[in-house]
Amino acid sequence: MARRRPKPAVSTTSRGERLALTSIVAFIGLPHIGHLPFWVSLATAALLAWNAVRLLLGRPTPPGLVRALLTAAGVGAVLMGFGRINGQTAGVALLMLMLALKLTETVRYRDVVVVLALCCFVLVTQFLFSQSLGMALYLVAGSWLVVAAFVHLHAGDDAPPRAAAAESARLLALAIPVAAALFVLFPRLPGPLWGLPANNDGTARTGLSGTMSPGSIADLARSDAVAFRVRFDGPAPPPAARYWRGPVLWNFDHGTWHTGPGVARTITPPRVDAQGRGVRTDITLAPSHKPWLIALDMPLTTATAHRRTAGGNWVAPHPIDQRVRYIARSALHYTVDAELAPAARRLALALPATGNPRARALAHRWANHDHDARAIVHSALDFFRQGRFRYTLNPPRTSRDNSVDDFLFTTRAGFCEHFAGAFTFLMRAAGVPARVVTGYQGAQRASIGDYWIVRDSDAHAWSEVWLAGAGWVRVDPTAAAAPKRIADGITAAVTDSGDLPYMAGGHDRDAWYHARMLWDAVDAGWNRWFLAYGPALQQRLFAALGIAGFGTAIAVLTGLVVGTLALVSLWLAWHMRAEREADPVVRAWRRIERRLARIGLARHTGETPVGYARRVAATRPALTRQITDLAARYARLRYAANIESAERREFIRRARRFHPRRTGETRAG
Amino acid sequence: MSPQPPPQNAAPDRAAIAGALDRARQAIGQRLYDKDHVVRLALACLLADGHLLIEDIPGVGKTTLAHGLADTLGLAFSRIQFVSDLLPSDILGVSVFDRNEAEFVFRPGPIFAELVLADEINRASPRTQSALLEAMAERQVTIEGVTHVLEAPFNVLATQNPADQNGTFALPDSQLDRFLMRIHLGYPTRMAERRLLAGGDTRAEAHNDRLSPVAGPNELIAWQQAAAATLVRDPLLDYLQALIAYSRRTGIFERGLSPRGGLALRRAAQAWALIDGRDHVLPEDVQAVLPAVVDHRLIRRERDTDQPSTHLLHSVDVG
Repeated sequence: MARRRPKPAVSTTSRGERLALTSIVAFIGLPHIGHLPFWVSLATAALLAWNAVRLLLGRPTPPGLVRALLTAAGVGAVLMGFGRINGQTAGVALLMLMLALKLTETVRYRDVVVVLALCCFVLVTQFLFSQSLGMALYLVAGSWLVVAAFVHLHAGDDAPPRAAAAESARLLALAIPVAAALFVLFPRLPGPLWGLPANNDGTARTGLSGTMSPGSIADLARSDAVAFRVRFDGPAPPPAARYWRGPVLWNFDHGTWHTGPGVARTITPPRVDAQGRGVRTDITLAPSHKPWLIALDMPLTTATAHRRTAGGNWVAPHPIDQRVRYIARSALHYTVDAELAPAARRLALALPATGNPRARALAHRWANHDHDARAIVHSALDFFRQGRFRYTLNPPRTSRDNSVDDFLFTTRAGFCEHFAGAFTFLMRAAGVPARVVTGYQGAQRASIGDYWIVRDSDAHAWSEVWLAGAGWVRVDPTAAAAPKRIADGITAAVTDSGDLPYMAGGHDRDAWYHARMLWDAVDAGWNRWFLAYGPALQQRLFAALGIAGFGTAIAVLTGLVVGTLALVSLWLAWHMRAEREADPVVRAWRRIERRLARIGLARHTGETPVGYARRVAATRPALTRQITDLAARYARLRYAANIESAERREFIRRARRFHPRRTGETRAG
Repeated sequence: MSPQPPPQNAAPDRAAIAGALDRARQAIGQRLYDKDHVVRLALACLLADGHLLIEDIPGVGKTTLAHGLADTLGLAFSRIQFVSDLLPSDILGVSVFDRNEAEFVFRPGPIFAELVLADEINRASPRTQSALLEAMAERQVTIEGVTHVLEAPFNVLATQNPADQNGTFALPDSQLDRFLMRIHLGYPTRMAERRLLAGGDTRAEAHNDRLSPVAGPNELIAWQQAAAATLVRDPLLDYLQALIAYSRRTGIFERGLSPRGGLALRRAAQAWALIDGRDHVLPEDVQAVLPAVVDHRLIRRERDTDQPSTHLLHSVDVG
């Protein structure tokens, strides 16, 4: 079959270039597989594969009707799947689908520009889902590809892939100082980015929830995700003092402890008298989507913008959706609330009207036997110590309304939430004010770098009782039942350590362990030096620079940016003027060259006007008449003698009318 | 720099000159098949009043080209076969005592001609070579204190056999600069070879049947003046200067182009434009003569397959 010569179409891309573009889109979209619903990834991948196969087989662009139907189907599917087409996940899903569809009709320069610009946007959207170091490196590679494609697109034959890649790397390197300046100075808004709805697709790490029911902390302990990393200013406190305070739970209801509504209204934050030197810690907290700012027990201060709860822990004004770094001071020896306010006492003794009769009876027995609260506490601890309790990640189920009775007298197996919950219940039943504190216990020293890691698997719950003269005192019933939990960590304590996550330990420290630790050190540096730089730190930096207030900061920065841009523009304009050809004939010819370069026909170094015209004519026959005439005229005007100004004007007029892209479209064939 | 001053007399009829040169090229083409570009270069070299070095193995038509040029331009031709015991006086001439006149009279050597073919100059001793090269440069010969001018037109066609190195003295690089151009004839094309094999010996034809001249020495002088008067405007001077500057700056050559090399390039380009009948030089003219003018003047520091001219062509932009 005789193949027809393809008609010369101006400013089109080659098949290889379109295949490369498809690969770039696939590369930069790849991480979204983990972020988007499966069907979106599948549809996008199918569209990309279809496009690649179509190009390989040399099939033409699918008809407009097919493309329109596919577009409508894509929008419809996103609307049905998400109920919306904007917002973080839905918007990105739509973006990926439309980008893949756009590729199927991408032939001309204009389309490629659109696709590459969208690619840049996709790169940014990756950061909405993950800001890890690995992702950052991946996206640098993606940016490099996209910029290389831009370079190739604009330089055509003058920048073959290899040269374009080198130029792209050079441009990215040049951009580093600008990126660094913007990183430090670009105003950071607290709260979710651009008012996008918070991540709600279940990909977030779960942290301490503010409620505690049987099994909830055991579930958390199965993850070795890093909850926070901490540096001690000075020596680390002894293992028995490594309690990290999180939300304090006051209310007990149907087997569940929770922070309780209105606690903050009825009880004022506690008075803390520190004894001895405090401990200063530098904490980088992973996003938890909860406002808790974890700190070593008992926290004295954290960054000023935060509020202290009635339980003595600190909370941020917003849920922590981005990594945050703060300095916290804590006291290891302290007295909290030497006097207990009546409202607090009421809350710390409150119990549901019914449920758990055997536990109540046991508590009453202790209370009748001993009027001293300290003795009651000891009785209870003895009960846990001698009761042959099993400390396990997989406790048997307990009933909802009699969970404490079931645990204390039937199953006798539980995780720290069972012990802390039951102990607090017993104390309240015996008339001793008590509350549950959730947080973390322990810390793992990083093998590289001077910091400690606290993981979800270190999640813990304990009790505090209020004793006259001593205030709130920490009592850890888990330590009584399973002493190894505090001394040797969770792995030595639980009976089923095989269910613990890998990094929680309990095995030889093999190469994999050390590799994970090495990566942790890199990741810690990344988090500490890059991600934790948020609005709070930025405002402190601005304050140090004498810029007070967010509004002032924005005004100053806007002024700086506008001023810099204006200066750069002026400088460029001045330089362009300096380089600008004095001769309007030469300027007209340069314009012709630029227009031809835009359709991939840049003049080569050392190519004469006439030789250039010959090559253009050979590649784009539709231009032959015009470009031959223009080049001959230009050569004459430039190199021959006695030129009349009419001839110069005629050339400039003709040059202005030279539009290679339009010519190719209207006169093709 | 301002353009060349226009010639004082009426401007030469460039179309007529181009026509005559075209006939000469065609006539030589009857003997030397499919070598029009080389023939044109050789003509340009003579029009630029320069000396030509032909570097090639024997038997590819060097002599044919020399004869063709001499015949068609109507020049007095002489040929010197260089051998190892050739003496300077064998080229330049000697003073002998004339008994009748009772004084020394000068017997001019073969160099006193309008077109001199110095065949296989690398076979002569350096001393003899330099006698020739001096005469070429000075356009005069001094023997026993008496200076004899070599009247214009005076151009030398030297040949050198690069393959034959035994007992020869290849011209030093510094001497190569004295030749305006160096060209290679190369093997004939397939078609030309066939024509050659079918048609018989060209040398016999050349001897028996001289080409009819299209001009004479006086015309050649006029044409040389016309070539020198070809307009070189500023943009082209910019290009020439850029080429020269680049050859010195780039660092890939042992030495850059000398001022003489730069002048050679301009003159050759002017002659090339004249062959086209044009009154001004285009960058194309420079590029056409560039290999013949610069390749023997520039030596690459490191071996490379690219000729120096190719490198210049692709590195220096046309202004």
